[in-house]
Amino acid sequence: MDFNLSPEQQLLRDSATRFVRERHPFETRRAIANGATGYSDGLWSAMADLGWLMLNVPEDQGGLGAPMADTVVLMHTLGKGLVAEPVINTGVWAACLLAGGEGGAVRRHWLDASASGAARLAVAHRENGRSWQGLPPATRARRDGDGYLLGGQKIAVCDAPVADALLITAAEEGQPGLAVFLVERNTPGLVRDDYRLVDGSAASDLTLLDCRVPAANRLLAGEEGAATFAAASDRAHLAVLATLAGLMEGSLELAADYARTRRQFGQPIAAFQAIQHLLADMFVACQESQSILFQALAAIDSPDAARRQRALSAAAVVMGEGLRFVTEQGIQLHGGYGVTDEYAISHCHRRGMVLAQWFGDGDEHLARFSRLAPHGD
Amino acid sequence: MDFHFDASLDEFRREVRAFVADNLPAHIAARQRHKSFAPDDLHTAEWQAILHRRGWSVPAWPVEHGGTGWSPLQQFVFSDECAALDAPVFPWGPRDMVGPILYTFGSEALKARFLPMIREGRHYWCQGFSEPGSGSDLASLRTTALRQGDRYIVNGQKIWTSGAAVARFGFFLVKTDTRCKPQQGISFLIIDMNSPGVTVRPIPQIDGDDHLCEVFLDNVEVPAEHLIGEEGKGWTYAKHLLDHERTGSAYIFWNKRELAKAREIARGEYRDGVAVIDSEPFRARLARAEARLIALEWSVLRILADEQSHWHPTALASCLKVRGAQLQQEITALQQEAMGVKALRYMAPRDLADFPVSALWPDYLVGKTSVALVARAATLYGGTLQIQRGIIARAAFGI
Repeated sequence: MDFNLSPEQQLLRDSATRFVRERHPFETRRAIANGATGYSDGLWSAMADLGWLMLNVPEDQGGLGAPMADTVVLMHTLGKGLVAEPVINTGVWAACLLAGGEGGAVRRHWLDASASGAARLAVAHRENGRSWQGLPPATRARRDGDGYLLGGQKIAVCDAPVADALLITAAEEGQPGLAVFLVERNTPGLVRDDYRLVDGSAASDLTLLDCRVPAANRLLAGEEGAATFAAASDRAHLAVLATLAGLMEGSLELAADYARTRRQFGQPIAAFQAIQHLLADMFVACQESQSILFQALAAIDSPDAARRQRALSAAAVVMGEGLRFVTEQGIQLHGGYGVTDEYAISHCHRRGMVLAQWFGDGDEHLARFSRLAPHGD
Repeated sequence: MDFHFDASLDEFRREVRAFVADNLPAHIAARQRHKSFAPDDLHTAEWQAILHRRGWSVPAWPVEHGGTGWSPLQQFVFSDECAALDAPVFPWGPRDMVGPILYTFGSEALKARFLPMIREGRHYWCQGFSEPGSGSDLASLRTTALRQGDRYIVNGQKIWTSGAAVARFGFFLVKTDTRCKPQQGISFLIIDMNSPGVTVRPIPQIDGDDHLCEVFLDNVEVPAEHLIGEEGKGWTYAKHLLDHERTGSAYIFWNKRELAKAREIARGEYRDGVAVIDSEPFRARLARAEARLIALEWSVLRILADEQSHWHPTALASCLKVRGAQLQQEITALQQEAMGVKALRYMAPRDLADFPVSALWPDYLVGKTSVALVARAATLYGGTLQIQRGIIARAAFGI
């Protein structure tokens, strides 16, 4: 058992740390979050140049085929740096769906485009009134000649406003399992209602009104499609959790720095035991989260979906709680400045809110963890 | 990064499991099930003697002193299996404190006399650290041991000395120099509890047991060679120990076993025809505790596998202590919750072995309330929760 970074992972972390320091200091982050789109084309192409979008593309498909640990290392650092570009959506989730999918030329084209950074992709799965992993999608796909007609609605699809194409889950008429369709941005019948999220990133509600796509755009289908979707989503979920771990560590450091420098009653507030104990509890929560993240990473390559998802849910439960504690108390330690846009801690809190919801909330994961218990209860 | 237990470790686990299953006497396992906290000297000694014959009684010690030479992960697996099969928990004092201090700092004569005795589990040991006026502030202790020729004359009072009434030996922190700074004059001394001038008074506890004691030391004569190492180095030795044993305070094996017991109770107990385990609120609380337990286990593994961290090791070790103690309380509370009104029955700790088990009062309930009550001390002993937070703030943030 070895928890240490390999030399390659060390390089990856160093390079991501340097990237955050040089290209994405907090003032840049703040400008982007408050800017017109919430995203930066310059950052995106710089990250593509660093090869970060190829990590999850298999070697035989032109990518790096890196172990998931590399993605965890990368996202931890980008999370700490509050980078909100759609790395997970494009470089993890969509990349895994495309790499495991059917549809030769279409799949190939978009996989290349996402790996090179030429395209941003977003996966659309959540629907109104449905949990992350509850019922099959209400969105329907019906075969129609040489294509498919899609109908339905998706809600709060992260990064969709800047996505060149969307990977949309649907129940295919007369078929078991799950289908995933690639729908290009300007396809007729795809209506986007774009809005910003609390962290400055953007999302859309999608309405599909008999949206017609070529048959080759069906990337996944059937029971096998459902299994591939689950495996890809689990990897994306793990990447989100790694981002959260970085975000928590960043929040802790911000809070400790602030407590050491902020003076009241003639001394730094860190001199007060009430503050020290809060910081200590935040530290414990961060360490605990890092530990259970490792546990989830250890299970991610398992072919047994129940085992993977139990491990992920355990992590989501502990980390969800830890995240709230660390970011909320981080704000508390900042006093009034904690609730201003000017201080990074409020960005940590808001970014955490978005990420912690993306793949299901704490209660959903507590229930899934309990349901997947290996004890036979 | 690589998170696989290698295959040889699985094989090792099977070997340990088979040995414990074949050799742990049923009456010892039953004792352990009913009363997991207070070490019963006789039963623990009996089990330790069995392990000693196998060469497994002091796994972490150096091989030349009877240790196994196992890797940290093998030791983890060994303890994990022992706990899962209800083997008694070793009194950690002699095995994890006296032994390591002795073989690291003690004289040849002390080593020759005491190490075999500890290894074979021949006697129960107690630990005399806290004093009525020195709890969290251990450096303020006042018990003195003043050198007179070839003896020390010891005077003072200790408190919370677990098992002092049954212990043959005690290892005490005493002041051998009262003039220097508080932490500098402290030394480690082994005291024969049968010495004249030693008076032990058991303290009636919250659960009706009286395992904790007060120890009065009144002109107790102790041979000078019972000093471990050098005078005034007690504090340094204690720190050395903490640096070398950083995961014990997680109580990970204890917590795993007791969570399994909580589940067992919840399967067996019913409310309105529904097993407690099937009640949604209980399931949620159980699941939450289990997720936190998994996190704790991985925190232990990170330290055992020697993860390089930019954080101070003391801060990381205190994290284990904090969460380990909180989980003991959370898990015993779950057991109590599952027992419902049955948790209220007083079961005298001394009489648990004779408790009349019945369909109404199954084996799995016996002694659990006592354990839950004593678990309140988990956030007190070994440095209170508040002391741990102070340690973390200092070690992690330099404040």
